[in-house]
Amino acid sequence: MENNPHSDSLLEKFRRTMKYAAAFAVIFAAGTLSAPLGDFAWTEARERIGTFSPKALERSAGTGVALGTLGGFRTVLADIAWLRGFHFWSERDAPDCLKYCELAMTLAPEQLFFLENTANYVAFEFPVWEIRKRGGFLRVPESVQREIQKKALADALKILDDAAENNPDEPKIFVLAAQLIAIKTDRIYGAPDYAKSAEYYRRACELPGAPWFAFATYAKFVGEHVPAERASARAFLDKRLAAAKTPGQKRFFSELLEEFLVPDS
Amino acid sequence: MFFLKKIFWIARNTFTEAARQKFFSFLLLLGAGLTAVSLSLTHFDFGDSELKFIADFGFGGIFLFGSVLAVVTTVQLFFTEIENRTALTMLAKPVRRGEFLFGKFLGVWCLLGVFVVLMCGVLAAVLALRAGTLAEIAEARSLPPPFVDFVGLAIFGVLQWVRLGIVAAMTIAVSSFAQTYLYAVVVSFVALIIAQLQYVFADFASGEKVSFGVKALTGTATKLIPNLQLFNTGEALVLDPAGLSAATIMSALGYGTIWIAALVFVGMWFFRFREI
Repeated sequence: MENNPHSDSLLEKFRRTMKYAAAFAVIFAAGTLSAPLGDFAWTEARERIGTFSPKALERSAGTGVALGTLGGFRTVLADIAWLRGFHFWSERDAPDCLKYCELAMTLAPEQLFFLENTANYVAFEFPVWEIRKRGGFLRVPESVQREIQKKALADALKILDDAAENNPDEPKIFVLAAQLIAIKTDRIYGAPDYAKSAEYYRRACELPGAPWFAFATYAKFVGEHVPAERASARAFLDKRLAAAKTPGQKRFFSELLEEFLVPDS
Repeated sequence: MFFLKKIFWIARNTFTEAARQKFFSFLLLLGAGLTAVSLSLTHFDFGDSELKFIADFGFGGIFLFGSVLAVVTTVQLFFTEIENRTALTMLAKPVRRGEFLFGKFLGVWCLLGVFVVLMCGVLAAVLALRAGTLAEIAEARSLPPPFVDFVGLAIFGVLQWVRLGIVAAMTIAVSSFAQTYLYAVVVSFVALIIAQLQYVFADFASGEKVSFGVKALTGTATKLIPNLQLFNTGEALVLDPAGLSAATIMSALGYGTIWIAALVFVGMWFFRFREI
């Protein structure tokens, strides 16, 4: 009996398909079987290693992220990216400077040095470069300058807000934002936006490890400039006073309450 | 138990052959040199602790050069056997194809173990040297000494060995059906890149705005790719006093073992059908 070449090739195709399907099934089974172990380990590991957030991956230069992801030299690559960003800073090239600063922040999200300086570049340096590029402070109308400064503040705050979202336990980020708002709004409007700044100080104070000056500034801003917030601030600091462990801490909180947040008679 | 003996002999032969290669010595020297040199590069560090900067060089060196070693050595040893027809001679003896491939994998994995041990040794020496100096400075200023956990470094070494084992197993699986050396190397490196970014796919799959179809597709894809970032815990193990919980370490090791077993099995499965 003659062999049918057509049925042979069909059989061969079927065998080949089955070969790959079996391999696929084994890998899928391994993936499913190992998933509970992987998920468990990943939950703790992820918190500790500071992986890139999808947002950060979207906005950063892809090559750097890929290198950082693959190579493991994240700190080193972040430093190199920062140096490159600094080169563009010295050339007053805002877009390229920001690109590399963001890359450094993405590669080392836990490093506040990059975050603080990037936010300061965006808030204080970039608007000045922009105004100079448009003809200088004497030629650009006041209203346009104000818009540029407002946009710079919003951009810097967005950087800090994104960072806070990825590092929700870091009070220094909120302190940075609070300071930036106070200084920047003072320059734009002639007076600091105490309410907004106090709001960020409050968020910092709610986290463990908040610096003492954050409590003091919060109490002062609210006590002297934000009457609507006084009751809430008083309640918050009263709680801190009750929870204070040392006599020094107790004295600190009671002095703040007495100096800035005395109830209205 | 005779089959274990055969696997052992193939593994030993593979290990000896691989250890004699200049490529291994070159990568080892490069990685160790880079870690040692990091001591003098700390001027380029911004804001981070010096020890973190140095450790990062070591961690990066172990994974980067270890991965290159895992992929290139595995493919080279495998294809040399095929091209020189020594595989054919060996398989004509009472050696099964699965035993041959498993032996090859074990030989390469042992070599990767030696690489990791030596690299961790260099890193430990550099960290100890610098930590000693920093501790003296800290003591003079009445500050707490810097923290370095050498047991954590040993655990990190074991985790890296498992991670490189997954890379080698992935390469064995690719080589078992690849027809050319170049194809096997390129596909293995691409697989390595994808495995390093697996968590990005997983994040995407768990996103709220993603449609059901895309979610199912990416969800399935994440089951087909191991998450290699899981083993990237050097900083927590070595420089953080809190360390990493034993359950997490054991889970990561179990996860790696399952993936190694599955990938080597797939390699053995494909190798059964391969024409030599």
